[in-house]
Amino acid sequence: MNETHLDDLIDRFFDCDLSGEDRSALEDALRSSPQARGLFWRKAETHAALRKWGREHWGRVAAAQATESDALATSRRIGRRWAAASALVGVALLVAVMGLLGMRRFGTDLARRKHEPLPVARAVEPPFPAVLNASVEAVWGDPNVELMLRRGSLPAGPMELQSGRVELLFHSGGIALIEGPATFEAIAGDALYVTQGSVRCRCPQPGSELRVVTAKGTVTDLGTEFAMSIQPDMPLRVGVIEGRVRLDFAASTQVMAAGEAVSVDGAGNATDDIGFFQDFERLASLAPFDETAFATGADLLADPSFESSPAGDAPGDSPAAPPPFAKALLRLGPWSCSPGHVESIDRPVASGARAVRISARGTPFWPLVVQRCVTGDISGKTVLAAVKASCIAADPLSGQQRAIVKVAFVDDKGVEFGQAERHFLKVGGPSDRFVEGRISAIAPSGTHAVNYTVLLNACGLSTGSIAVDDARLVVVE
Amino acid sequence: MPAESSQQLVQKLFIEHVDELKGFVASLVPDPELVDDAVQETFVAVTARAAHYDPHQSFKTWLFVVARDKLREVGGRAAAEARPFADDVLEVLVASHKGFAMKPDQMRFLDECIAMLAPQARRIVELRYQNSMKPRHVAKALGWTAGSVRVALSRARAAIRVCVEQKMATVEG
Repeated sequence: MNETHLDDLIDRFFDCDLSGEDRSALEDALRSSPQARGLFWRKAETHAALRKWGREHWGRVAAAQATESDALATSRRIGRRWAAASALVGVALLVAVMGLLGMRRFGTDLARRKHEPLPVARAVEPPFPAVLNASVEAVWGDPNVELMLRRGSLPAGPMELQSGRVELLFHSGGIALIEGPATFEAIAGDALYVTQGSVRCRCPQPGSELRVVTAKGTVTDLGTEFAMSIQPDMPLRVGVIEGRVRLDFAASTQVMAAGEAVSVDGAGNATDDIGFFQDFERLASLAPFDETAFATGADLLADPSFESSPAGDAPGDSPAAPPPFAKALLRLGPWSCSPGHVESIDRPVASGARAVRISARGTPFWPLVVQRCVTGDISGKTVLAAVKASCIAADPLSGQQRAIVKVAFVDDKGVEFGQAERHFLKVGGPSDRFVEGRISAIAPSGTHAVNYTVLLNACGLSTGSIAVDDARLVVVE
Repeated sequence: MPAESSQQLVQKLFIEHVDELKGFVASLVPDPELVDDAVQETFVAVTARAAHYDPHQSFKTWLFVVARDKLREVGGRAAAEARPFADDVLEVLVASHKGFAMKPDQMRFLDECIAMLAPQARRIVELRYQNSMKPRHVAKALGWTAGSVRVALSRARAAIRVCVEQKMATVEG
């Protein structure tokens, strides 16, 4: 067999296009010829490298999108302040103008992000003191922080949340909801260090404790809920929503009860702040989850309990329901899925006869099921999303995965421009028992559709799976 | 060695070798979904057999032997054109495998070389490897014949291989 023919047969093998006599001919050549085996492995190396390149592409896209949204957010902030200038000049001139007008920090930041590699955040060693529980419209100073949090790890050092809100679940069971702009660090399984930002803490379990440490002192949640605001050159403000908290400051230690609020000055002196108590109820809060609307509202999703069977791995070509992402090609009824990562299963199920299983299968990124719901203009309306997920007892890594339910807001051109997500399933939790994850968010102006997505968060591992059932998406009218 | 710690060790080593394992499996099973299945099932198998692993022996050799066995099982589920080779061919191929040592700059060079391809060739490579589309699906998406896509893909891969090798030689030489 000449080399050209052998070359062709090997290529056809890698392209799943070799059978019958041609396959036998290639097998004969590989059996008998060391040169044929050498050529096979040389070509195999290119094929394997291209497969790796193809898979990593999705990670690069995610990172680029995060970088882009970060730069865009910075640019928008600048744009709001200097709209006239930014509308007329390019980025370079804008940076120069910023410098002249004393906005050097923003300009340098923008220029650096466009032309230099971003510093890569490092993760702390597991076990992590806290993990991401939810995020709404979060924009991070370093996009790597978002990637790390989304895959279940925690960056080392302070995190800069430029805007939006995130919820961290601490090892102690305490939950901290942080609203940007904020700079903070989870320094222990029960402690959050905050330099700047608005924070709301809850300790829903009896005996759980969460401390917020600041430069002026420490606020300890004694099994309740409180909110606080930490801003540079401003008094620190603390208000107790429910239960009690303890304040430990340089000048005093005191226990506060529900409905009380104080301001703490630079010397650590606390003074009554009750006149503005209503401020605390608004601080760092997610959109409330409207139980009644959720129970009675129409579910916008088709086949919400995944009763459909896979329709093969061909690209979805139905013009009525194109897949929201190029990656999501496998069709499962009205759902689109990551090919090779999603299958219909009959056990465990939360309801109906079937559910879907999402498996990592060698990639630590986020395999998914997704459905786009065209809603018309729902700007300003509350969107409620939920799904049930379970670890699977037969999975050797059962209990080491979390699930993510995410709503992404889509404009009239089909572009995602905002998102909210809830991470759920407790790491180490029981198998085959379904847990519901819920998220509520206000649709930003210009929302014409919603991409409803459920993802596997394999916590940075490349194996593991979850069962998913009973998806629900409601727009509160 | 206690069962739990041997499992932890094997899982840790598996994660360290998973990229190379995927390259190895992908070379012997052309269907990407079966590659994922084989890698997943190899993980399950090495976890289950962790107590049999001797830490003084090469983990990679042991892993690839387990993977080869899984390839046979998984391959049985594949369509005819996506099946791995016959058992005896697998044996001689595995015996002649010298490993894929991914060099530090290789992925960057790959990126650069793909960017240098003609637009249509680049598009075909993207559809084939980023979207895991088989050539017949690429052909349908582009309105080409399957044969034309196969030829274009083959030429693109050859060009990429030469380009990467030249860049590596420049760096090393």
